Amino acid sequence: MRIFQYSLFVSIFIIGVSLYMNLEKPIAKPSSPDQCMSCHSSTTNMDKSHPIEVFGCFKCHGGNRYATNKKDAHRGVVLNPSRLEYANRFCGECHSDVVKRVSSSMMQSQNGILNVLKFQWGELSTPIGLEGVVELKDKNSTSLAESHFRKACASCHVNQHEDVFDDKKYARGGGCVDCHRIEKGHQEKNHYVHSKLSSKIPSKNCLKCHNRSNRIGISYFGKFESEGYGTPYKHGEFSHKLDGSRFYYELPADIHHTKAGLDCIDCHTEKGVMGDGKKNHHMEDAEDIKCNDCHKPKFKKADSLAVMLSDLNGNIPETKSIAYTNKKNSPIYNLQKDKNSTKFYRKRDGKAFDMSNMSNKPYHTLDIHKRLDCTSCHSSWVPSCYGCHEVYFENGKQFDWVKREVTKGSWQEFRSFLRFESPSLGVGYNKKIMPFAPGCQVIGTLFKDKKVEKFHAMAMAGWDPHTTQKEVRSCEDCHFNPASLGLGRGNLDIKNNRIFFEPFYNSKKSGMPFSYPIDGFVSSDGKQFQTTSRKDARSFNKKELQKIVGAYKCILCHDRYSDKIYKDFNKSKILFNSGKTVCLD
Amino acid sequence: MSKYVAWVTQALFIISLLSGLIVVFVYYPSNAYDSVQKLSFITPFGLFFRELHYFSSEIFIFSILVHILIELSKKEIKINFKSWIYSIFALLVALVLMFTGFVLKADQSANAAAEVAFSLLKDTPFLDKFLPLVRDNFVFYWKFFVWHGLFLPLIIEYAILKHVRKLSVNISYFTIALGVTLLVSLFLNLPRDIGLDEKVLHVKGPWFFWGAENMLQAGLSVLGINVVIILPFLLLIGMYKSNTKLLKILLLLWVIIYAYFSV
Repeated sequence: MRIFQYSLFVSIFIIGVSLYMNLEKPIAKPSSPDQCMSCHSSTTNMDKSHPIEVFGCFKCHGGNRYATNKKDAHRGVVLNPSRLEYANRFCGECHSDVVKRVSSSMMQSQNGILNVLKFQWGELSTPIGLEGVVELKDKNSTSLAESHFRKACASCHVNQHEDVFDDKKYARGGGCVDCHRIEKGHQEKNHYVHSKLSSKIPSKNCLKCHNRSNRIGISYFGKFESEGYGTPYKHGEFSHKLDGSRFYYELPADIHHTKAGLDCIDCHTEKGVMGDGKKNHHMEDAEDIKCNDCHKPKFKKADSLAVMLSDLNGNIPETKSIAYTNKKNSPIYNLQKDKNSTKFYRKRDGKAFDMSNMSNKPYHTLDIHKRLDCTSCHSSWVPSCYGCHEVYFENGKQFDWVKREVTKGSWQEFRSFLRFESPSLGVGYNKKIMPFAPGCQVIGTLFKDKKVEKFHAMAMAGWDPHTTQKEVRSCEDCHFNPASLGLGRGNLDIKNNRIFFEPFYNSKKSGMPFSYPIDGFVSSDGKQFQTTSRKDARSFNKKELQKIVGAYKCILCHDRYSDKIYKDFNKSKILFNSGKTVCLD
Repeated sequence: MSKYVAWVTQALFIISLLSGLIVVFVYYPSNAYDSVQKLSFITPFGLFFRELHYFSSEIFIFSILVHILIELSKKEIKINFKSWIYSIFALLVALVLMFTGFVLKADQSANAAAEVAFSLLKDTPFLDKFLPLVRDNFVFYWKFFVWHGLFLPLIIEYAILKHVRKLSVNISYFTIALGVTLLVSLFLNLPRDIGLDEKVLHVKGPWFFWGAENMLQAGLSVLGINVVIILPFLLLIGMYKSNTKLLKILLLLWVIIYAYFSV
């Protein structure tokens, strides 16, 4: 009985204590839209589309939206929800289509780079097949190309981990924020400034990755990665520095930059950049925009995506008639037509530029030049990095960008010489004539356990170098410059309809493991020396070379499109062949 | 002692029932996880009543077990067979109540527990017919809510009434039961709710199910699990007729094996 009385007494005491403690507990003050706001209300908005007053924190970062203490509230919180492993859960709630497309895009998989590398190094019979980064993640490969990809190329993919970069200035990856973040989040005196995201992606975000290999990004801004050393000095520092160890010369920038200050996204559509949901093999498959889309546009009624994008941009007026890409039918919502004019709006600030259609003058309509891609004439220069000496140390150790750890095997890269002038021409991936440059020419030395092996994989690649100018290269530059023809630098002569070429570069004397000149894509009799980066791409063949060089004798006199023979070239040809017009040779 | 435990057990049941009646006002089966979190963090005294409901129910189960152990330690069971059956049935219903309560917290572990239960029912002959009674294709927690909040309390009340003939509130025992519950809740925390977005490698069901979970993982068949679950109840029923040493040893063996698999 005494136990009963004691337990009753103790129970009453406990009830009292418990009631007191619970009554003393502060009652949570509900905050909207989630309880996170009770601590994070001073955090700034990341953009105008996701106001924190409406979205709160939970919607994008997870955690416990009702918790009133840090420990419970932060349980399960994702700091960067835009990483692709989380994006579907967070960003994907509204942007599921985009997340899906980006996840399978080439900028995430890097399958294009990996497959071309394996193809050029003789590990694949065609430059397609592997899935890219995802496929290599759990693979312990012995392939040399895969090793090089892991150590040298794989740092650039959309979902790379930013924290693996020692120098945060060059950090890439992070999912959606890799491109969309324009300012990193940081703590200020009294409040936290949230990372700022934007659909107006500055070109510097693209240049984080697009500054190596074919160097499109830096070429566009008139920077040619050179063998120089960064002078002139300014304020006691190098002035022409790309990054820690690379320097540049200033060359003419792309006219789209010099004339209108356009950024990459002014031309490149969201489907072209973020993928179209298909498994593309190469950049040109993923790419959407073509010169004609803007310079010979087809206008249609603005669709809902166009309206949404221009609304999101905020600087671009909504209009009924906009241009669409020919390839993927993506809206070019910043190229608009009204009754009186056609205007191109810069996405960054909405500045309008009058656009006129591509002219119908002979240089654009001549049948003899119908195989020319716009880039073959309008690209003023191409960064051409000849002969890349790749050295592999089997017992060395280097960071593996796929596994994100230091693994066995290391690579070092040394280059031979760089040129920019008179880009070589060849038949590109689109079967049109376009500029070609080394892409890539590898002369490899492999230091293995007890032996040294050598290999070489010489390739030329065709691409749009993004060095467009209104002024084009001269007729002679294409028709009688051996470098342009793909023969390499040297002396060119033509006798009895036969091409004679004496190269300046002597590979044998330079110790190269091949006999053709390092800048030679093709021999004067049409034999292709080097492979390419695409199955259909090639150098000119013998017939084409002879045809091009053969026209030189006409060009000597008829070197202007204003020449009357070009007014109706077919008629001129008939007259000439029938002897009715005389060549004053 | 037996009477003392019996009264406290009854009081614990009433505390669990009353606290359940309070928390049910803010529980929405269609938005279950959110409503549990709101109850725990935002609703004034919500966590107090949730803890009261949880701990009173847990202690209720323990006190039933203690009550049975005391009765079994006696030379003979003094209540009639019908009453004995009802008491064992009440224990079974109490465990089902505990399980449905666990599911109603609607976190990741609750979802997993519900899915395991569905699978067990589906793969058990005869019991598979009852699957539609718990699985709702529109509101996942609705039928669990109906069972936990309405039918199972009525059934257990009926079983207890059949066992004790009268359900009465003794204010002193009620105070002691409340004191014990609050004391436990002062020192112990509710098991952590695992957020629906949290990445966890492993989730667990309610503690009394851990043994069965691990046995399933060890490769025991669904039928075998059913036998394991029903065996102690059959042994308890059998003990009324012949309270032999063998049955007691068998029950003890069961407890040891189940405990071994539980940890």
